[in-house]
Amino acid sequence: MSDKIQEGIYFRSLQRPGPHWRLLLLNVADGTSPEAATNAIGSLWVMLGRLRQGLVDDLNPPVAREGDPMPVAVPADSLTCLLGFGARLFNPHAHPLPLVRNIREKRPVLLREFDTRTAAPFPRLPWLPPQDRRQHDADLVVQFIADTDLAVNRAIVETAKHIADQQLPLQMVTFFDGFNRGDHRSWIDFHDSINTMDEAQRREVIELVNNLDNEWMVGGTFLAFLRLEIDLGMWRSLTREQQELIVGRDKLTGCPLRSVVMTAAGTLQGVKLAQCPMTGEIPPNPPPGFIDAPRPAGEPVLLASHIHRANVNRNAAPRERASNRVYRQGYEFLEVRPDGRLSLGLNFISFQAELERITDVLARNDWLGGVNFGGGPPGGEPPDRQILALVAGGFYAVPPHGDPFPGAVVFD
Amino acid sequence: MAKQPGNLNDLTGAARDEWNTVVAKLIVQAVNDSQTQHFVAQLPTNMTHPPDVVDWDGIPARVQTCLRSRNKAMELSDWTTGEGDRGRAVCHEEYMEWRTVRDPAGKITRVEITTEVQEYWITLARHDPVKLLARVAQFASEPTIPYQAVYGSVNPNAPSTTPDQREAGFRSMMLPRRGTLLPPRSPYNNGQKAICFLSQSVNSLGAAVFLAAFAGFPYAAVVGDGDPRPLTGAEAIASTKQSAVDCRNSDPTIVGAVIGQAFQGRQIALDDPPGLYITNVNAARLRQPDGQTLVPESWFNQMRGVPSDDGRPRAQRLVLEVPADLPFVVGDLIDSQTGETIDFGWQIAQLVKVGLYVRVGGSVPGGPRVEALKPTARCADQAECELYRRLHEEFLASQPQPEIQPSGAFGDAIERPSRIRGAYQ
Repeated sequence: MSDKIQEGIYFRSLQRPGPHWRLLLLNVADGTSPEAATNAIGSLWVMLGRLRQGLVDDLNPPVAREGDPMPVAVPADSLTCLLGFGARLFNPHAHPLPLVRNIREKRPVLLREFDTRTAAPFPRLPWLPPQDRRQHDADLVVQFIADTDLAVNRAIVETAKHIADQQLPLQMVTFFDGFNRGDHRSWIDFHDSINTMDEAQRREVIELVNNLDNEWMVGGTFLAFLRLEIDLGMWRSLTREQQELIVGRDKLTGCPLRSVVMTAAGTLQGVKLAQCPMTGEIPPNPPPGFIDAPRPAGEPVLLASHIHRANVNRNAAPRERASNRVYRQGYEFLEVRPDGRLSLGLNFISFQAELERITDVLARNDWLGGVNFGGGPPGGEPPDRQILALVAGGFYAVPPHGDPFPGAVVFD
Repeated sequence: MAKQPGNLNDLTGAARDEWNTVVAKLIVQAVNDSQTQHFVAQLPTNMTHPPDVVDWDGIPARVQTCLRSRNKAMELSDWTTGEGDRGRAVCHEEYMEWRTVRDPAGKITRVEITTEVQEYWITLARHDPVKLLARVAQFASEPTIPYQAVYGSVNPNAPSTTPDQREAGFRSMMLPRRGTLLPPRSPYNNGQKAICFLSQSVNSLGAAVFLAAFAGFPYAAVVGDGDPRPLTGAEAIASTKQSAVDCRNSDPTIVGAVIGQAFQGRQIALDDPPGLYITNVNAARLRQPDGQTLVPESWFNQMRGVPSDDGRPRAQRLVLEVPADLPFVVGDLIDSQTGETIDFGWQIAQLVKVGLYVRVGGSVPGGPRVEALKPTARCADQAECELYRRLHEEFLASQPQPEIQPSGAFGDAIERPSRIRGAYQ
């Protein structure tokens, strides 16, 4: 069965996302009518369609000089573009002249701006201090993924040029960057999560179906974006044993821990699952339980670890609400602040038909609502330290394919 | 001796003994009927500590899936008629039922949620009508209540009345009318004056025990050349003999969790005290009318249970109410994740997880039991969906028609006002 899910969500078999990622935030100018917004976004979408074929407008002028080669194509580098709508689009305080008619019927109920008035939008996931934060609400987001840094950067530059050339009522707000690590590890040096769902399950998790409350979104999905900074100093102040108990895996091999023992020195140490690989790379056919670690019943320290808190109901089918499964496409980031401090971490990107899944994972005490990353209660061992903080984030509606652009019907 | 749900002590003497027998019989029958080796009455050794929790969303999944609309599911789930809470009688099937109390203007002033099992209340009704009537009166905030409202034509206090007669009278009033989709006759358990315990038979302790027992096998699937993996709850319901219904939040979760342990060769038993418990309340999601101030957790009054030695909560009843000295009510509170004011009991119920506590341990020889997979249910297209659609039409027909204002030049009727008042409206 064909689907209407936009490109840029690599859930289909044999698809692999490119290693370079950008998330561009755009606003629609004040006073813009729904019709003008439709025309502007449609124009942008057409330009991005040409760019996906390697056609840059300035290299393919509408009036060619005699002898010019036509067309002039640049490597597209497998660029994909995904369009999403933010909560701001539906907010009449941001758009007194409403951009969306019948907001009450069209606004997806959980599409809310992250609250910056409180210290943390989720119980144990705080904001960075205001001076280090990069939080913006936006009407639109465009996700670019490609095989090269050039392709995703060019998409942003071409968007800026197009807005200027066409005098579109769109304004750039900011963009976020990210890249994939070829070693499949994150900045904390552990292997990052590995997908365990097949294509049909991934689609069940991603695609919104059977929804009369927001019919314009049927066939689409919701994007959750969390730019999470890692406090590397704090992380590295922990011993390897503590880190492994917090994560729930062996640091070098990625092997899940099955039990905990007390060492002669009086510290806790995890015991790896039997038959685990002895190399630092995940083998093509890992042993049972390697990727989807079985719940270590009777091991409260391991049950409090990150991998078990992130997936408490391991044997629930992905489509079930209780599974809280989401489809992740994470990208690391690294930048430097004006004062020389490094800012590094993960762009957590997930797609799910129900935003409740991600809010549930982040709010529930026995999931990740009870800890910042993993570990036991206060005073327990290993300690739950403040490892992650939020740089920016938001929820976005990602409508299905549509003409002239995904979700254009929302402006009708 | 089985403890009383929530570590309560309502039952004494013969009633306490009978509760022990009720629980033991339930489990024995479920184990015998299912022939499971993995679900057992008690684990003598290797018990986990603390117990594992198997929990799920208390709001009903099927009504929302079938009606393809959260808005419709919310209004049907709160549907109240002159016969009591019809929405509850039809929709609340996740081992959690609720009652929504409104002021004359229709604004919510209190939401009451229960997970208490009917088997416990029946045992109390059989042996201690005085205590039972006092408990009902307490829930209804009335000094006393007439026994007829709870026992019907049976005088529970007459010397010649037997426990069986009391039970018959109690069932006739406090449980749903057989063969109908109507709520109980008694206003003290149909929502008009109170709700006391889970009224639907699908929400009974027996139902939960049976579906756990029938899931107590190491059911597995092999996909391609891979190793066997445990069946999910939905797969097991489609492909094996189960006592569960797919497309709910509860049943597939319980089935999947039990199979997951059986797959590892483990045994699973209900933790003592047996019962259905409120395992989590996301109070932080609610804000006071200013949109910023958190709703204190103390406004969520969790009752009918105290934690066991493991420290885990064992509450079976939750009442949300704003203190009387404040100038607003529950209906003025705001859901910070949606921007909505609280217009339906559903919006409070969605903050609550309900579940079972289980002990896992032991070891059963033998490997996975590989099953041929059958297609899982297409939840939105199930035959039962027709029931929800029909009832929703009935609900709509029962509502007062919107007042039609003089139409404008283009004949526009005034839009029916929504009860959902988002922050952006």
